Amino acid sequence: MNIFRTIIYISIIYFLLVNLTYIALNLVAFLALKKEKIKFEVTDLQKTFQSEFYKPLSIIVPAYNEEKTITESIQAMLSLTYPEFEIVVVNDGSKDDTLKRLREKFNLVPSNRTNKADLTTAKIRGVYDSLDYPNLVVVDKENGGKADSLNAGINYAHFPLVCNIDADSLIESDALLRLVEPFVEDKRVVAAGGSIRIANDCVVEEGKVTRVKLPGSWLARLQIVEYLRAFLFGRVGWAALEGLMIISGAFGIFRKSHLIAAGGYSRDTIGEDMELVLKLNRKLKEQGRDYRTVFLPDPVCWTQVPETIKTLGRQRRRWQQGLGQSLMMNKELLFNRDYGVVGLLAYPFFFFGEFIGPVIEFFGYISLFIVLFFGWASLELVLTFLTVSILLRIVLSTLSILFEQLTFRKYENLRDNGKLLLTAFLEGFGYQQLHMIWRLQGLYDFLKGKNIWGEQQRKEF
Amino acid sequence: MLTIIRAIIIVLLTVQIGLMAALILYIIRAKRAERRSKELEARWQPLLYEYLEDEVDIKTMEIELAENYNSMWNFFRPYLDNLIGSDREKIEKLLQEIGFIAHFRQQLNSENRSKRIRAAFVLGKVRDSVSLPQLEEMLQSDSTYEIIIAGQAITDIGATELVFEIMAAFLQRTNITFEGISQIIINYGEEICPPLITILTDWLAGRVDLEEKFQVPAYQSAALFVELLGHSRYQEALPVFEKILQQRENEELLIQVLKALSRLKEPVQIDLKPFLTHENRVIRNQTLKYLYKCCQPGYEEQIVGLLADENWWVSFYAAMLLYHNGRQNILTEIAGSAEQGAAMSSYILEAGGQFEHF
Amino acid sequence: MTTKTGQRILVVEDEKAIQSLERDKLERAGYEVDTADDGRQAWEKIQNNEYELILIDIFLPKMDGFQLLNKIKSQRIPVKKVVLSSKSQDRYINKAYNLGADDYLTKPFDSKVVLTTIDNLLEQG
Repeated sequence: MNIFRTIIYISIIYFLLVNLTYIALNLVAFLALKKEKIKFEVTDLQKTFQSEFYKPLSIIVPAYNEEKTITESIQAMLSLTYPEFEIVVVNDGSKDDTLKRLREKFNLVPSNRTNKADLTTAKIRGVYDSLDYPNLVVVDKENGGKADSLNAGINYAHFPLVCNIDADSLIESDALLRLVEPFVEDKRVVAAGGSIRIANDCVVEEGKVTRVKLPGSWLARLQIVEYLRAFLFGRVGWAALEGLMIISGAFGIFRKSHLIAAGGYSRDTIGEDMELVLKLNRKLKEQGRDYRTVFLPDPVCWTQVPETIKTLGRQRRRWQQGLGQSLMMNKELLFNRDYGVVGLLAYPFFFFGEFIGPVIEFFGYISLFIVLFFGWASLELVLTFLTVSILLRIVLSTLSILFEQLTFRKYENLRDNGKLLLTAFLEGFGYQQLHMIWRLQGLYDFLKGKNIWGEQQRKEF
Repeated sequence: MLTIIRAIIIVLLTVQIGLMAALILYIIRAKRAERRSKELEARWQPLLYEYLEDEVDIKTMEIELAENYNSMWNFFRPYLDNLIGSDREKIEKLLQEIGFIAHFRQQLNSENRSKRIRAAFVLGKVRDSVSLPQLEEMLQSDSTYEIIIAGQAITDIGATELVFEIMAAFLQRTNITFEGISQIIINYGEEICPPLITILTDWLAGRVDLEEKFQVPAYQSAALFVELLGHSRYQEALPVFEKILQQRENEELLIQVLKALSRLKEPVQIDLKPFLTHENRVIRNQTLKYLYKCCQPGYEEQIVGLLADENWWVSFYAAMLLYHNGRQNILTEIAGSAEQGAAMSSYILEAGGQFEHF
Repeated sequence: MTTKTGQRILVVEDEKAIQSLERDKLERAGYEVDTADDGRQAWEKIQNNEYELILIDIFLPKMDGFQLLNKIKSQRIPVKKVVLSSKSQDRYINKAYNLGADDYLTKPFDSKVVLTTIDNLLEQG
């Protein structure tokens, strides 16, 4: 009996700690958003755009088996609002006609472009220029995964800033200008990330979201609430504390020299985006550099999210596995004072809160059932405790919906916001538990995955 | 235990209800404000156009525009962003008369940081020179963002006498990049060039210590000035540029001067041979680029030599330079030979000297 | 003033306030004015109506000013084209002229200059 009691107490304390962090993050984020808002208002984007003193940007787009959409996506990216940029499409050994489609559509010819950096990648089969678009380059290589493709893109990129964008993402027209701004304003900035919003059911015309609509699917709506929480106070809060650990793989800008110095994206994790930011933090701190990673809640990239339980589950499982790998690959950070907020707060939070959180949650649930079954605690106590936990999450979700209204107002009317609120209420009943199970599966994959790599490596040598 | 948890539940429920109420109220208010601003725009727009044609006088406008200044700002901003000439002057005069400018001058002293920043921004846009002393003071602020906005406002107003004060504030007390500084200083327009020439001349003559003034290595601030002069294509900068080329002290600075010369497209009275044979490939390349834009006789031998340069871009520019200045015959000759520059020569000849990225 | 009646101008500008101002100025000058908010809308109007002159902003949603100029050029639509853009770099100006622009004006602009330019172009016939 004692052991279950202890487990319950541990989970209660754990639960309180996690939520206190959330509340603190909320406060920080609120102040940061307020500050951000005035900046947003007085930034003279038109002027930046006219000026010749912008920083040119290389956009890297990895593509794997995307014959259906690739030309349309690239066409949309070519019309992005930014003074000078190039697009480096990396065909990651697609088995379909991705390369052929690109060749036909953009009139590709062999290029004499050589690699400017030498990050290790799978074999390059060819580099092509477009006769129609001088700022389009296609790198064709053997299959090596997303991180490998990004590295190949970095190798061939010309400009000092690189931006990674998923081929199927829709970038808002001002987003690049806004996201480069911090690099101009502050020379210490090495990386900047933007928000990801959910494009399901939005009206899209020629690669631009022209009308924001709340998706009809409940599963997509649940993810909207999750994304609002994650971006509007998760990342805003951490960035304000200078403890930002994730810049989404779908939309971020980096100073290329630091990416190269850090060895590029790591090829042995499926969470290469998080691993990169952790590695950058680690390396830059080791060098004793004064640097900044920033998160801007407004530059927005729209993306499609899964609408079936199966695909969503698979995605989250992968995320959890990737999270574990990234954390393990940079475990020196844990509770290390030398790494500042990242080492003392952010890393531990992600480790205990996000990574092993589902385990504690799981044992918490089990123990609740056991104590209830044997009558060691009253039903009332158990239920009230559950109510608190669900209510807290609802409050946090409501806060982020409110933040969204106070700042960017993508969802304008009462009805949509009402639906979001309802979604926030429902999240605790079923979805939250499902999410826990997916994350446990991801943990299992993580533990199992380690061995598989061991074998692979042995094969190589 | 149970009572504590119950108390927590009650607190959370109250917070939740409060948040929901705030959300609903906020949405309703925002909707109403949106509607209101649309109404105002519909009413003000024809009126403004009549005023611009002198069909309505300022007095009438003052009565009609009676509203809060923030809505007015939203209404006028696109016109201030896009107009110059008599229309703009009339708008500025109108804003002066109806107390709009006075309102923001007052806001510049506000306790609230956001209000101060907005005020500085607005006053820059309406080019209110009366606020200059306060904006100058704002340059001494602790907040990077206030310094940047104050600097920007001063350049918008056009107070060139404050340019070095702005630069000193930027370089010493913010982390803004050189690109960022250029972007703001260039707001001044051509009027900024004479003071820049003066300071460069004084520096070259040893009368000014740039390093002491801006707390960064002298060549860095000098390079910034050179870049700004080039950007404005300011012909009178030529003697200063020539002098820097003569002194040949810092490679970074030389590169900036050559870049600026490419923009000016004016010949210099300096021998460029040392730069065509310089060990730094960027200098070789920039010199070729300059000669490409502004061809000068006497360097053919060096340029032909650079066709075989180890750097691809250098040889590319050398070939382009010859091609576009009536020396295609040289390229044809070399292309047919076994000389090192043969490949590049035929590359340029095949493309007919035309490349999309030029 | 009377000579201008019936001369139709299409104003392509995504900033609504500036679009209205341009419309007002041109109408006062005696022209008949039509407007478009983006490149695609402009192209549809050009195909279905006849204009003597088009005032084009370069950076437009959906289809930019260059693309629009290109279409007008390749379909050989007989119309005068004046560009009004915030970009003042040579390469933009050259590109616009290469695509058949008759004049290139930069923002911020003086509406008097825009008007004179248009008057002159249309008087030449």
